[in-house]
Amino acid sequence: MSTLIFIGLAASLLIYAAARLSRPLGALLLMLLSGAGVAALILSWGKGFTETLPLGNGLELTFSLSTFNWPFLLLGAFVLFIVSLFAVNALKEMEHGASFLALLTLIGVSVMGVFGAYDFLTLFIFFELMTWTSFFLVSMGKTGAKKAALIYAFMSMIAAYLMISAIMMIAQYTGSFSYSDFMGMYEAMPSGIRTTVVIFFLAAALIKGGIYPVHFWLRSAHGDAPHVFSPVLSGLLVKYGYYSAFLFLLFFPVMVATKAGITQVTSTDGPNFILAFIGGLSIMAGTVAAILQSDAKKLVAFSSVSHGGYVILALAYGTNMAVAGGLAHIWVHVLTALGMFLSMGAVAYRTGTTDMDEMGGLIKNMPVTFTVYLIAIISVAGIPPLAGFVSKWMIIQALAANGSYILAFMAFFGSIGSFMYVFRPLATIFLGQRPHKFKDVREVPFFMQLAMLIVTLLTILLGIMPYYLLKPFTRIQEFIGMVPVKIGFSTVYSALTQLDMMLIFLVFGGGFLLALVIFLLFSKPTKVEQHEVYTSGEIAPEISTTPEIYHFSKGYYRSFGRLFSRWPSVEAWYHKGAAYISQFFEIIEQSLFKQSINGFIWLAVVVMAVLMAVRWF
Amino acid sequence: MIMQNPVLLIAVPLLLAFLIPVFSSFFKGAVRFIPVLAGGFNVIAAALLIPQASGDVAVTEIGGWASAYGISLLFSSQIGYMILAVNLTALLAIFYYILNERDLGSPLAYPIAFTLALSGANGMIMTGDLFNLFVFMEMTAIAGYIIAVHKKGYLGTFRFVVLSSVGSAFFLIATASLYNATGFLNMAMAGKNLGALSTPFISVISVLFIMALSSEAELLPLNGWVAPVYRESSGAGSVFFASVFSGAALFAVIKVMLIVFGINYAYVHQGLLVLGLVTLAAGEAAAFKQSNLKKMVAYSSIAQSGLIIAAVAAAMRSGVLHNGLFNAALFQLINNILAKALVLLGIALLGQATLKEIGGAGTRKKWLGVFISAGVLSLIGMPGFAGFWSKLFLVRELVGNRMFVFTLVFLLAALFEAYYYLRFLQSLFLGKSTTAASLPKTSWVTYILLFVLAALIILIGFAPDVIIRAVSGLSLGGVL
Repeated sequence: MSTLIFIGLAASLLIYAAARLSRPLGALLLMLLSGAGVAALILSWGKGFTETLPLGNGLELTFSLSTFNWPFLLLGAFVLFIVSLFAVNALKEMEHGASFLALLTLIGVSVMGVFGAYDFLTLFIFFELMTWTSFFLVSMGKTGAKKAALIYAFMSMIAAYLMISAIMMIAQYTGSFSYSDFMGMYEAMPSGIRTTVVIFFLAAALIKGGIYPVHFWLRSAHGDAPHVFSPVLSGLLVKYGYYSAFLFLLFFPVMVATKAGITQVTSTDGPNFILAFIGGLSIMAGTVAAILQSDAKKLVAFSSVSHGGYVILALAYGTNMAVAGGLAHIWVHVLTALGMFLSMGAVAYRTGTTDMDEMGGLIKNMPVTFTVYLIAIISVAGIPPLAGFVSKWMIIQALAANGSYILAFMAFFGSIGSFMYVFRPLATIFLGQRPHKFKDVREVPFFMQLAMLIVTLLTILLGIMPYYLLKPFTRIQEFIGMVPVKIGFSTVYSALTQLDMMLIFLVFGGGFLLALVIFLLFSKPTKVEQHEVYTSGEIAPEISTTPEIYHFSKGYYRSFGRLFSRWPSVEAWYHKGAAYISQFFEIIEQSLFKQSINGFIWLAVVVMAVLMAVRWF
Repeated sequence: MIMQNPVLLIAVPLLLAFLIPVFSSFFKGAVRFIPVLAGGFNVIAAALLIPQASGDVAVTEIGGWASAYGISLLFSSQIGYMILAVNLTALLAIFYYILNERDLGSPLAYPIAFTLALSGANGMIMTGDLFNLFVFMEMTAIAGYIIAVHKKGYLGTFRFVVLSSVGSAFFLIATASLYNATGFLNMAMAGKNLGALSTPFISVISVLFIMALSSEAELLPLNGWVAPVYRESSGAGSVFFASVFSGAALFAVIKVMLIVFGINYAYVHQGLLVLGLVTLAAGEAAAFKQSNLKKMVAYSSIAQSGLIIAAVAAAMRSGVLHNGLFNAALFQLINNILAKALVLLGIALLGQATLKEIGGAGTRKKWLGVFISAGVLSLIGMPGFAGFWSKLFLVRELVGNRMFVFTLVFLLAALFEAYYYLRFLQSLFLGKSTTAASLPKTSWVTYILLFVLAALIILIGFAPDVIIRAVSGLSLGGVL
């Protein structure tokens, strides 16, 4: 793995040079590299190794490949593969395209390091590598991106510093950075240190994962990042947060119990419940905020907050069903985030905007993009027969089986709410009236379509055959000593019931075919202009109408917004806090560094007095 | 071999500085190369001395006087690395002066000032004698006055003159009192005899020393000159202030604290620790608001001085010397010298003063942008660059020694530092310039110089072993 990391570093230079010659060439190179990563990982299914890279002076980096991190490494390679495929066409007009690809390669290096790490130091180093590379990548976006990137970097640094403090506490106690030493000595650590370490690490993980109430960087960072980078941010980088949360949740009481072989947990334990509750809040807050967005990418950003909530809720809940569901949901969210962000990126690539109020009726211009988006949102909303249904079904089964009705309500709230927010782009971008200026919009080029279609295909296939979605995660469960959930090729068994996705697919498919047959046999379609749909083909000549006035895209959920307008906003508090800090800094500079000469002498006298006082009192 | 005597590091530049006026009457044009000669000699001499020096401090007696009575110079491999870093950055600044700023101001005064400053800085680092330290401090300060007015920055220079004179007065009083009470000017001997003195006397002396050194080392009460001087000084001048003077002065503070006061006076270090932390926090807070790049770096430089001093004080506070923390602080100091020089040279080469003006300059001058980023990313401690390791070691030692308040202040300060430096990089590469002015030309020689610095930073970033062995493989006796 260390060789791969050096290859990755060299490759970023090579890709930069190649992309200077031609952007598609650079993107294709990255695609080949990450594609090779995907292939190598699939071939190495079931294998594992650990290796060490000594840095001298007692420091060393350890990497490993095991059942535990295999799905995560695959996730990283897959996201980069899809995104670089998308980038072959999409980067053509981007201002800093070559640097973009080089930095994206470095993100690939950080994926190997973070998911492949077998000690905390390695984890931290590659975490930080990701921070500064993704900072530049976010900065390259549209107008608001600079501010967004700074907030993002600031939050990431808070996470990193929390993490390094925790790591150093661990290192001080165990004498090494290694995971295995930590796991071995965890029980023997003083409980104060143990709690601090876990809290710090989880706080860092929640920040990285964009979980409420530390989610606010996501809105602007996802929304304003370059269209090609948003999928990586949401599909891959927030997963660093989920992954490190998972690492530490292994030490939480419920998980410990589950690992000991107990399959049914009847009551939730304190710390687990608090974290699960935070996950639930994140689901609700993300859902409500997503409904209120008028920018398509910000909407998807908040849907990420909500999905992160599902993952944390499930992992913290800790029964074997919940853990399998939560882990599967990580992969599901990769697919849906890719599907949604890529299709929104495709729309923005052709129209130049992500403001939903401006668009409409693009279904005829971009049918492939529409299909991709449609499949993605069906999965997001957890409607069968797609992958999103499987993971949500498992999570809700786990909650219901143990009688956690409040958490189950929160999870349902997110599912129902997601109907509302995913429908908004569907209705306002693809359906409805098409503004005249978008009359000549064409479907996106081949590679972009290909990238999106792979994602769509996987969403469907993993939905029909949940075996391939769940098998890696049941293996993780075996690996950590938990009783794995029972799965068949297309079936999942819970304590209450069982789910056969193939059957559901056949029923749905049959229904669809039936409707198609009825449509083909009995309908007599009339072709009308797009806006005449709203007037039954007749426009009253005395009213001067334009197609746009029939389009309900502006202020789509305004009345719903009024419902929540009085809810407290965490983001507003943060803004207020930032303003106070800024003022405070101004005062410090004025009083300590901008004095007259007399002022400085007085200052010196005061300091002397204080220093003397330190001695005597 | 004649090169083996560390005194040459001081004497050669001093001699060359005095020869400059003589030379100038014969070869007017050649005068400007004399500082290069001095800097080059020092870099080579330091590089040759380091392998011969052991971890233990070697004392060189000057003028045939025995150590405690005459002036003595200290040299160890650690001091050697310090001298190498300081002289290397000074040499780069001098090259920059010759290539880009030689028409600025008097062609005679600046070469003299640079050469004199080199001599003084090396003296401050190596001397083991209090009064001698005072002399070298004054020498560098006077050279500093000349360098500070390079671009007619009178206000800043005036402040610098007043505040550093106040500092010198404190230093002189403290030294004289100590001499009076212990009978020695030699640091080690004065320190040894300190135990016989009354506690109030020692605490007053220590406060006087702290105040005195605060002006040169950019610590809090007397550092009001830093921001205006950086802002108004030339490119070469700002590097001299940020890397050469502050590096030498910080090392001098550390030396006085360690040798004279040692680890036995917890309250001295306690005071210094608080002062350092306040300086760190205040410096980062002030830097956060700056839009002028040099002022931003100036405040950040203040903050870093505070950090280093606080770390050293914390290492000595509890009656035993925490080697790890002490070495991490020195590692941070050397990183800081290298990275600040790189960033300031880069800013000077872009020729723009504010965040807005610099917008997009990094894309027009790609390599320069890349070099500056290496410096900045090292300063904020990103992996792949030298600064990552020094920050990591600092956190390790601080958490390991359970200094949680220090850790908190340090990490908070680092957070804001990362914010404004990243903002700078963002503006450098992705901003839109508000001025239409074209960027000044950069010669390939300058690029090579910057490349050397950046390569060094990245080398340490990937193989921290190189520098760790240099600063930390040494025993306690080897620290100074």
